Amino acid sequence: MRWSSLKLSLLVVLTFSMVLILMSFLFYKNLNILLGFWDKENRVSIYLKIDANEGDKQTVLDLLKTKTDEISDIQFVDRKAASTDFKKMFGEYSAGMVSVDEMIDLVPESFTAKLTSAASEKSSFDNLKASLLTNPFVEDVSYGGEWLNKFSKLDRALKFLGLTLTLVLSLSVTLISALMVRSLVDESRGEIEVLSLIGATRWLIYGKYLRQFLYFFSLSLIFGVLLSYLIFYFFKNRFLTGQGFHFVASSLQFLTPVEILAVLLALFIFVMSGASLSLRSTLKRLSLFAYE
Amino acid sequence: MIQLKHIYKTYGADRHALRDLSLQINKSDFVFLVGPSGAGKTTLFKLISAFEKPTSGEMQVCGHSLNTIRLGQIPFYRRKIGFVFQDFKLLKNKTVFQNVALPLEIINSPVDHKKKTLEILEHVGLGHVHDQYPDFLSGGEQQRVAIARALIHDPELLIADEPTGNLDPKMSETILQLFFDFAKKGTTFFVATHDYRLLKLQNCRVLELEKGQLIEDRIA
Repeated sequence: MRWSSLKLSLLVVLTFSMVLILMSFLFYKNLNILLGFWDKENRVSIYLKIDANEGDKQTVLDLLKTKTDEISDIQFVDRKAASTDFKKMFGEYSAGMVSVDEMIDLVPESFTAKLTSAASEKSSFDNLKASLLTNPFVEDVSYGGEWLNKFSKLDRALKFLGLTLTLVLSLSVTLISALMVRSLVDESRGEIEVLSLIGATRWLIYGKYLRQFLYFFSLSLIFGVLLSYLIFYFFKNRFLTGQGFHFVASSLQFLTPVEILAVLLALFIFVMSGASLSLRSTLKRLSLFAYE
Repeated sequence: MIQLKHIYKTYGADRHALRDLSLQINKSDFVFLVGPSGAGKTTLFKLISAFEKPTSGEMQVCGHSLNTIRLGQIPFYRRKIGFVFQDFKLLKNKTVFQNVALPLEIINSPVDHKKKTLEILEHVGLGHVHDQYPDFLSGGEQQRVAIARALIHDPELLIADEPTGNLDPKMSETILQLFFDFAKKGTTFFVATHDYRLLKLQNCRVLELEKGQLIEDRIA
């Protein structure tokens, strides 16, 4: 097979389309991972007054234990653990900050607990917060899930964007593939005419061009996966890590082999169907099988 | 071999390419088809090649009724015919050998492809250029490649549409002589030409078309 400029463009366009599709899947998957991660952190934090002593802590703990309808899994976070978490979250940006030992006196101790589903409603949480704040040793009550609740529209919008992007890209790739097959067939019009004249069946001609397209499709899949992995690797290990977002970088995951196979299989069915339909209509347009 | 009865071919509402055309060509006949441009020669060949259907009338070619032939049967019908064109229609990305051997591959012929291809190339005097690409050959050589390709699978009928249209007079005669040689083996030839000089090379039957009608059927 000779590599014409059309065939080369076909390979390049398909490869970049594959990269875009795989990247949109990666975006969608990692968005879910990050949101899921934050979701796990949706614990209520009950911050103690900075000067609270052991007896005060016990009073607050006793109070929390009476709220079994609203909270569960109560854990104590001491100053050292809170300072270490704080430094860890901010990665190298915290380099200019004081050390963990120096931070200890500045960070309050706290209790964290899981909210029951009944208390997750905003009004219920507000009631719980108000009742906890009446205790003189409680400085503040905050709920990690507030952020998510506040931005739940953004969360849904991002997920919708991810899915829409994937769908639009898949359709675009199918359309591009169909147009490419059409160009490929147009370019080979003379050959198809000869094949048709010497008695090649429709399936033989379809098979020949679909095989050729399958070859380009497979090559672009391989290049697409490799290129996507390289982009992902550099984004995760160079860009994000380089910028100090260790926490985000360590959470990002590439597609698993099963996910890659599933995406490729779906694309294969999508694209090859588009290519077959286009081939059929192009051959009819060329009047080679228009004897009716 | 070819039997046409009251064939009409009309494009649109009133453009009659063929009108009430009836003719019969028997096995092993060598028949010339002549007539000015627009007389209907190419339309007649399109009907015989099953690229188009007649508007009305009956057509029997190589044992197939072209009025009722199904789309799926057409490739198998075309395998009984060889085609030669003015513009050769060779595949430029294939060598002379690959071009000529193509019909054997398509029909999955049980014969030794290599042996048969080289034999026919020798017959048309091109054995020495079998590994070259068509673009490096002269017009006459390219047409001989096209003839070899059209005849390699021993078709019952060979249709040639202006096969010497792009060739000089000497080469045209050479090509016709090749046709006469192959005709001796029993293939039926139906050759359209503008070149009335070629008709004198051998006493053949000549059909003359004008405005879609057969106006003369004679022996040259």
